[in-house]
Amino acid sequence: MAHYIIDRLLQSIIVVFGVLLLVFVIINLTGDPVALMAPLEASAQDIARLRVQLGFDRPLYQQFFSFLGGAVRGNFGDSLRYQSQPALAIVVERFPATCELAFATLAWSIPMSLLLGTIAALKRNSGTDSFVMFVALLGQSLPGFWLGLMLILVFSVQLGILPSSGRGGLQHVILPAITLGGFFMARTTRLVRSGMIEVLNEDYIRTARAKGLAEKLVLVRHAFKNAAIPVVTIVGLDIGTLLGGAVITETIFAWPGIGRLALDAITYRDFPVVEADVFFIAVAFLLINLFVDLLYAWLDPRIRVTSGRF
Amino acid sequence: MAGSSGAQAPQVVDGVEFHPPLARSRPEWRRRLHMLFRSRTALLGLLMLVTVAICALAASWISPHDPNAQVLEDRLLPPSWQEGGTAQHILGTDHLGRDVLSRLIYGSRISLTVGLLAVFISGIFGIGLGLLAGYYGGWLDALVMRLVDIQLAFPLVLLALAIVAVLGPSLQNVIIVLGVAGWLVYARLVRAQVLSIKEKEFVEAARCIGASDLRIILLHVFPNTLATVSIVATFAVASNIILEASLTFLGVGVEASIPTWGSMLSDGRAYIATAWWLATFPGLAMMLTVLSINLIGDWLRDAFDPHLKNL
Repeated sequence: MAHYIIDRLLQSIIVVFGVLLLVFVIINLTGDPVALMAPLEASAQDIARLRVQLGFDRPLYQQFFSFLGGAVRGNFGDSLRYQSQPALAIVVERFPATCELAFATLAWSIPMSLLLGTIAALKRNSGTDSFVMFVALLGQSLPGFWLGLMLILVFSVQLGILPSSGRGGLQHVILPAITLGGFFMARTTRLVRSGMIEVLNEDYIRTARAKGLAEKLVLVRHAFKNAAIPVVTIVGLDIGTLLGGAVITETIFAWPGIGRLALDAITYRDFPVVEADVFFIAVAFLLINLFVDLLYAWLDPRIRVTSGRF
Repeated sequence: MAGSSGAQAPQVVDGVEFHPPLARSRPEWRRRLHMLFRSRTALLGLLMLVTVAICALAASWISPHDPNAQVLEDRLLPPSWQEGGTAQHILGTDHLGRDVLSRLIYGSRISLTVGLLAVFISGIFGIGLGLLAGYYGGWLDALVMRLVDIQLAFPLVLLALAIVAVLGPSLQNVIIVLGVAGWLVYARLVRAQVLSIKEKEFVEAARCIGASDLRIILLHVFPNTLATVSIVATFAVASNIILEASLTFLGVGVEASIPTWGSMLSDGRAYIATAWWLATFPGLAMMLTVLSINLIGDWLRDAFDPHLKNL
């Protein structure tokens, strides 16, 4: 097991390196990031001075290695927008808000999809099943940002019962969490349903029923744990989408998280913050997936040794 | 079964009888078509998608107004059934007096174009890399899989945002970015399939009679991945439509001069308290389009590859 964890950690380091290289390449796509960073009214001399000041006059590989060297120590330079504030510190400061939103999203969408998926699987091919599956498909087809706008229209504008922006008490997190979780819940419901249908046909479920176990116990003890395996993997991979999707949700609801920070930083060409933000999301994603893999190994002992998700 | 029915006949490649998976035999096709017509939801999806496609193709004939014509005295007219609405603008007008229905009809062009072209580009990248990684294995496979890992750790919206922000917002850039960024689903699935296909007897047979790797990959392995790929591609068209609108909504998508559902939503957001129709209709159009594509994707999966349930 220790060997497995070390192996996965090494892989993660390679991935972080790749993500940093990718960010570096994107920012240098146009050939002159200084022209992108400088304010529009800057003169040619200003740009030239900025270039030397930020070290962009050096050869690309030297720039990349000094960028990498800084990144390893968590130093992405100071924000260009908020002068003299380190970029990573700005990202870290915004992280709790994103966490809060992600937890709120998972807290309603996972139990909900477990419930709906199980009901649909148990009443397979019934009217209830078709209805749940259609709602799930509808949920998957809803553009998240439109759902957000419609929720604001109904609950904030017309009914006036929930706030449409900002972070505060519980009522502030309700609309963003529904927006972010809509797609997630729809997708997970479908997964739970197909997982449960498969598991319910297994011999060990028939055995459990045959020995007279209460249906509730059959479901909770025997079916759930096995049906959870595919669900856990996909949910882990979806965390990335959740963090990325937060860009849009956080923007619509003016939620002060790292997603909206990334959009602001890109809009204001604050590239140190963009780099730090992407780095942070990538590391968070990798740690979550490492955790998911360990959970996966715990759920299914067969995978403990023969690893490899793909 | 044998030979007489033209396109349906098994192909003979390198002396090996080969049955294309999409056209195995006539009864199989009929069974699937029958499934399509029996499945009311799939038929509904097909009907809706055809309607959207007709709107996109015939936009200049069927839209009641020029989508960019600004009539400032007709600003923010509500839909015709509401008080103050006129029959001239069935779905109302926006803050510049442009007809919402006409812009919706023209917007379908952008959505379908971006959706399809981006899928085409990512299909080429993803299938190519998946075939190579699966067939050759070794360091190439390791490299491609690390690339997949890297991109998984980099949220797609953020990646697209960053690239478009650097290259500048335009229709062309959005298509390129979504195309390049979407490769990994194809690569992962194709690779997984190739791993099992390359162990099959017909590949072994082709290799024995001296077929080159390229020939085996293109004529024996690739056609057998097509069923799965077409299912994935269908769902990808749907998600690309949403992604394009999201990018445009955030201001880094298609240029503002082109009417799109994303830009309509982004304009409508500012008027959400006073003109509900501006943000409602473009989203509704997008949802129905995406829903119709997903319904067809569901049917394709049930008909061709029921094991692919995790999509």
